[in-house]
Amino acid sequence: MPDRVKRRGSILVEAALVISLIFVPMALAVIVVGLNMVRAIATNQLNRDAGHIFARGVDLTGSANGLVNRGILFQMAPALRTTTTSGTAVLILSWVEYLNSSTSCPSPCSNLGHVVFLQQIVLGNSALRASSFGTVPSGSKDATTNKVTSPFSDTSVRADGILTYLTMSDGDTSYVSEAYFSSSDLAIAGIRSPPGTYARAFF
Amino acid sequence: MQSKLKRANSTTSRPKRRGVILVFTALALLALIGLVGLAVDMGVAYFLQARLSQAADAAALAGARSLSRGADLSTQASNAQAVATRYFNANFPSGFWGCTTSLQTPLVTAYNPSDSTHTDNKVRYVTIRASATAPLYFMRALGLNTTTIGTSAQAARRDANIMIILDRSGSMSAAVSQLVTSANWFVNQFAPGRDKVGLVTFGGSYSLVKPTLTSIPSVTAAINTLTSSTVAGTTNHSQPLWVAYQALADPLITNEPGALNAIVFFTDGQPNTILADFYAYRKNPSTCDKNGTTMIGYALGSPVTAFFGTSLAPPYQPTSTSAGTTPSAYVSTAYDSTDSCPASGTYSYCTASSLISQYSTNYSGCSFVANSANFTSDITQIPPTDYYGNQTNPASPYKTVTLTSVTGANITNAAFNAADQAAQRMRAGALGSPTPIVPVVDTIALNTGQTPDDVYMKRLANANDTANTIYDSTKPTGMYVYASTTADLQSAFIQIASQILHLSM
Repeated sequence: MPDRVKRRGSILVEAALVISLIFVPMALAVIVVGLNMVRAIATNQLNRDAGHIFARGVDLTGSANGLVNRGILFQMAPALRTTTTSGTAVLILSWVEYLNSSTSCPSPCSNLGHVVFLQQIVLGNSALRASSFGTVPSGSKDATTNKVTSPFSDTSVRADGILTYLTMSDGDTSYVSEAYFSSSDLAIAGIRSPPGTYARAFF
Repeated sequence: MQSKLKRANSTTSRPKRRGVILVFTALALLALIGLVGLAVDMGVAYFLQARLSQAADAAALAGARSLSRGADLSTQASNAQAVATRYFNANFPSGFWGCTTSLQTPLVTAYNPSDSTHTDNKVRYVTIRASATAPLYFMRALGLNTTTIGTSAQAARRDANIMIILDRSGSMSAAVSQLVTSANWFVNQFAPGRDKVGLVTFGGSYSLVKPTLTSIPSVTAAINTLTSSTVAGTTNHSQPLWVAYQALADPLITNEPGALNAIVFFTDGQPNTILADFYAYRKNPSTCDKNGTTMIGYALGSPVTAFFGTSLAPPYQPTSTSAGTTPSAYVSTAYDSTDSCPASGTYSYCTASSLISQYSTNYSGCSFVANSANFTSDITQIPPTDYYGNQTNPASPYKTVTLTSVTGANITNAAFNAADQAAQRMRAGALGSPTPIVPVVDTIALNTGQTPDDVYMKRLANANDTANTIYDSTKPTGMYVYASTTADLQSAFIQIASQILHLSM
């Protein structure tokens, strides 16, 4: 075999090694980082938009109008591939109040000194993640409006964890939006569970 | 020999060719790392820009919302600044992703800072300006260690003019204490000095307790005078609704189209009373005929048999002795000169008996006595409108009414229709000059034994609900909240206050 052919072969081997060991992993890493970045931005943007319109009182309940608004909300974030009841993301919108006096918590009051949920709306795939501040039991809220039926006396609707992040005064209300996107396509069976992107905002 | 030469050539050129891949890889890596670094650094900066904008947005909204807190404008501005700062820090905490943040003191103004005319249009603004210095990770290789990103956000809050209508009819006796607590909580959600709150209480008739709307503490004081001993009477919805609307539209009192005009209507019962000019029989010459004068009065429908006149207790006016709290312009519209009571010179309450005696003097022979049995014989029919022009039997009525049949059931149905029409007329902008006032109407029903008519309450509010077949999306959409017990009242008022604050932003 001529030397030229041998040398060409060695160059090919070296190039193949460089490409497979350096450039391909690098390209994959860039793709993964890029995907995660896009998803992080999309999740953050969805979270911001949802929290903003929720804080402004746009109807996102189970009413006819609210269902339409829910659909529009997820259409704004097609990268998350999520509908109002399923998909790869979940959106949790909570309205909370800090009850720290008898004025804000009239009798019968069992939640004096606590932050309580007044409303909690969960959209998308609710199995992916729960709120970091607690989940309102389905029996404690109205099925359509998602408003808590007895916020002053129902001890299962407390959300005190919010005070870790946000200082609140007696009677203050706040709107909290949380979004989570599960990158199930980046999971490796048996090795790596699906990574996810979480965003939280207080309005 | 040739092969030796070839070998010699190959030995001299091999090292050069071997280095090609190394050099190529190094150069490519340098370029790739630069590009990837640029992409990563720019991506991070873009992400931080989005987060910073979100934090500023949230801070502006929360600041505007908290403009209600404080007894005066200065305190309200300070509170808004403090709250805005708290929300900004909660959303973009110090050191977030290695950033150094700089938040300018939130600006609270009564005008839009970007509007050079600086016109006070019943709106206040909270403006946030913030920046963050974000570290760069890859671009350091090129000497770029940080990048500065900036953002601004603004939220506006319209002043709100709110008339609260509270039911003080007899059925409220067990719930009035909780109503006072909840209504006070509600009133205190609004900003003294900017928002205006007025109060109408009603039973069979109304009391416009606070029409001038500027002092929220005085409204609170008026609400506090409601006790179980002051509740009485039947339930008249159309009158307090219309009187509250008059207060919002009256140029001498409010009439501020730039503000958010709202009516909050609370009741625990269905309407059963209307105020109207009733067509009365007269003696001619010795028997009653149908050409008599009109007589203003209240008619009570079922479950009690109809009768003419009001309940015997005077309307509740807790501050009627205070100058300016019950302008004659309002009370006198209910009792004009023709129909005024014998107690001339004042606008004191006309009892049924005083009205009856006045007319029975003029038209002796007819049976004008405060007696339910004689009512139907003294009145020819139910008027087509109530005293304020609200139709009792419109073309598309909520309840079917036969006006010529003066029965308790028909009067009750006429009372439903009159209130329903009042809400529709005010949403059509019936009053207000030069700009009609179109208020948003929110309703709260409390269950105290009677079953509230949800559909009716949704109609009053123009609630966006399938049960409300007359919902008009071109008009302000109100909210209806049902409180099944008194313990749910405050929660109901919280929802309504929240909705009004939402609308004002």
